[in-house]
Amino acid sequence: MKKSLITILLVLFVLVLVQASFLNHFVIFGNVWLQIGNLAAVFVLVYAMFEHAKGRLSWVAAVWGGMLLDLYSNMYFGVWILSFLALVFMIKFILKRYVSIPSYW
Amino acid sequence: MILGESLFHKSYKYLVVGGILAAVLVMNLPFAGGWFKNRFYSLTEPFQRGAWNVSASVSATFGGISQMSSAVAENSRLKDQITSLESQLAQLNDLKKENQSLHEVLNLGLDKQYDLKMAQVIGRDVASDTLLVDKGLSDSVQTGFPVIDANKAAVGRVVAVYKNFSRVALLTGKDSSFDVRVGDAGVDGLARGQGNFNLILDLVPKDAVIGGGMLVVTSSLGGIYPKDLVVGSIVNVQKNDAQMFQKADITPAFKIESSDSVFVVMGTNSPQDQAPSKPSVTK
Repeated sequence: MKKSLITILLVLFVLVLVQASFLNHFVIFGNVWLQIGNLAAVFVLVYAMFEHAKGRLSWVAAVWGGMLLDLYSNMYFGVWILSFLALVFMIKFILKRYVSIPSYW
Repeated sequence: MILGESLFHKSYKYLVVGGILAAVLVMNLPFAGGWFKNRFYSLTEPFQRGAWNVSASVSATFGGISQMSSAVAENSRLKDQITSLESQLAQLNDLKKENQSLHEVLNLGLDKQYDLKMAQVIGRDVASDTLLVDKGLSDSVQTGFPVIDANKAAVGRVVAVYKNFSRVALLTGKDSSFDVRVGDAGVDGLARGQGNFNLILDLVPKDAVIGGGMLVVTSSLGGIYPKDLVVGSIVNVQKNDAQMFQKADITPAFKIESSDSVFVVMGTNSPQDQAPSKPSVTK
């Protein structure tokens, strides 16, 4: 779990860095790439969906990913953290109540 | 007990949630938030700068591939423009000679016109149209200062200043609106940012003649930007008999994907130009 935690922290940091600096230079369908997808959100969403029902690391991913995005954002600090926490909560709630997906970690 | 389990132990749960909420509240305090962000940007600057520079060179090589579909239409439009520009060129050549001699006499230049500070772009906000640049309070940058690029195209305004960094809200941001003038026609209007790097021209009188390709420059009326900074060119004019004003889309002159450095206008030296609006330190 410790190893997964460190991996998640590093992956999210790299994703946010790539999103804030790297993807700005690429234009697709007339839009800067950045405006099309939010890599950190996609990561948190996918991780929460495939995590074990009792897994807790998606909450950590939500807080860490949200914090990184908040740091690079000009909005009120906490907007992304709360959004990601809400996203994880929603996914966990739906998966627990209505869906059964095989989990791999 | 391993880290993850201990973190989510029942007794710690409320402590963790409370800690996060407290941290969020503290981070929204101007001093604490600004200090922490500045430290974070300082630590991550080498990575950000590296990613930005690598990306610039990679996109220069491969960026064109993603724009192939629009290249054909663009090519046709540009050919039409070339024809019209060639006729203007002949007239401009005469003016150029006159202008050159005036330039020599007056020794005009961007650096003479404005007191500029060059800043490296190191990142962009993931949600809104803002840039992060590597000049801040320690370089005397203050909120409200206009930002331009090397071609005298308006980029935006400084909206937040940290010790070593500043955040620049682009012209195209949703909160951005400023007075402009359509260069060829001398018509005044209002440019409004739409977010997503889109900009529109609004409040142009219905009887004013504006058309695609016309240059839009800043006006001194609003006092936000110095006058005569290039904003962009008009495309797609929308005129409706039922409405009092006509609208148009503006293609911004500033291209974020090809700009690595910008210039913060610290002040204007020319009495003809509107000085930057009165700055104030927020962070």
